[in-house]
Amino acid sequence: MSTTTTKIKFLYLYRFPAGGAPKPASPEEMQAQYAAWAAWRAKFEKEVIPGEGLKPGGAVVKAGNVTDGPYIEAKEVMGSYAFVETSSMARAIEIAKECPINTIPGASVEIRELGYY
Amino acid sequence: MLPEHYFRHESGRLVAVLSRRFGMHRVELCEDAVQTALLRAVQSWSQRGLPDDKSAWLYRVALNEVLGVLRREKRTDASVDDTEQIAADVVAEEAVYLEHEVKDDQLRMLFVCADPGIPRESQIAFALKILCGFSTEEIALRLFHSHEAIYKRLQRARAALRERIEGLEPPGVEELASRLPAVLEILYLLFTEGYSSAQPDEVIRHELCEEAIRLARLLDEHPVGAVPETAALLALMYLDAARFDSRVDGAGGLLLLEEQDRSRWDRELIQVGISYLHRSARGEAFTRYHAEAAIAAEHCLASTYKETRWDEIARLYEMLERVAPSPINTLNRAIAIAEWQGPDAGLALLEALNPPPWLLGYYLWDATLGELYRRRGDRERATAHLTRALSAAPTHAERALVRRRLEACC
Repeated sequence: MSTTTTKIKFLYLYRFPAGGAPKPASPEEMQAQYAAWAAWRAKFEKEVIPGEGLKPGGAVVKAGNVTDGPYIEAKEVMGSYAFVETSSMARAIEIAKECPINTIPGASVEIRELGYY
Repeated sequence: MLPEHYFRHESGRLVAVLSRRFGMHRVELCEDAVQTALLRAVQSWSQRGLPDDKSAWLYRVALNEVLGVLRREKRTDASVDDTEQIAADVVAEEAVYLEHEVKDDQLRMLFVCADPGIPRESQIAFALKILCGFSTEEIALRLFHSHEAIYKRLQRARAALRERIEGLEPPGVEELASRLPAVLEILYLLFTEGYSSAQPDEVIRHELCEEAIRLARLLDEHPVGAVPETAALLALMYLDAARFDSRVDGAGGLLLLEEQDRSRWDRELIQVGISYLHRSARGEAFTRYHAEAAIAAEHCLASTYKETRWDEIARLYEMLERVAPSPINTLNRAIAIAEWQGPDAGLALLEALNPPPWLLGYYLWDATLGELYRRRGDRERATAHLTRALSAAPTHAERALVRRRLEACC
């Protein structure tokens, strides 16, 4: 039996400015963005488990009423999510600080620990 | 890991394929769709890793994007032809991405760029946009012009194409064969822009040369393009590219041919260049590319500056002048003659020349005269010409080069 420390599960919620990217990137710039993400994923592949992308549009049901989602008036939208299995919240923050999302103006990553009391 | 410039090259391939399928008049729609597909790829691939067939993935997403826009257009605009919708649906069913077709499509696009209704400078900017996947900013940086100037050139190219290409069916490469000389000139200028422009960033200049070679090889693989002229152009490109890095010293200063470390010349590239030169010798055609490639070969094969066959080079410059008359070529011939027969012979040729005003303002004119007078021992005239050359030299590196000559003179 191994004696690995217990891992805590976290959720990364990636948020992007609702207006989309500030200016259209050139193919070369997009490839650089991809390379940055690929390097980050490789570095933390034991801890970060990628989720799905979230397509634009959708719907919101509230008190039985349906509206177009997500949140037309919102300043930012959820773009995708990921799971992180690691030792502590401090470590989850450390990993997020290195995430390439930090280079996108107005974008952010929210970190939440999973589970009930 | 993605291959270098994968997105940029893939963008050129996809725009070419989609524009053939949906018509050249929809080229902007195709460009937007490809941009969207690349953006989605960054989002998806960043998280999930690369798909097995990246190119097919991108093609499928871009194709769906075009079809989506066309459907929305049809819904709002009854004048959009039904046949177009049918054509689009057929395309969707045979969503294949065949390698040889892609090459054909890119080549067709290259010939479309060479449309005689588009000014040459716009053709080059448009080729960089559409075939090489550079953004307007990146082209501006590479061609050493303002963003606005490049934007206008691109708009001019698009406007000319919209006017000329209305039908759905784009012409085949064979029908466009008469544009081959213009295509070769575009590639030649693209290469020269990288090889000898004022752009100080070496990486950027390298990239332009690589793109020119990539497109020229594509041309050479097609029956329409596989002519001796194309082989000659490729020979010239490789023989120049082999010496690209040796033209500067460690500090970025320019080196004269006689100062270059010949062991830094790329032997492999020289070999490729020489084999293209052999292939270019078929048939009757003798173009400026033949002459310039042969001159480059003479330099590449000479073991030292002194052992260069200057008589042969002078003869080749004379042939070059016959197919491409320009006082610049005469200037270069004078340099070769001076190496071969001494400064007096070179100066005699230049003194007999009636230089046009633009040549008098070109720093190499004065730099050459200054150098030849210096060798003759006429320090007064040498200093006068080199001083003029110094004030006319366009870049810091070129001024430094002239200044060194001037110091040798005094």
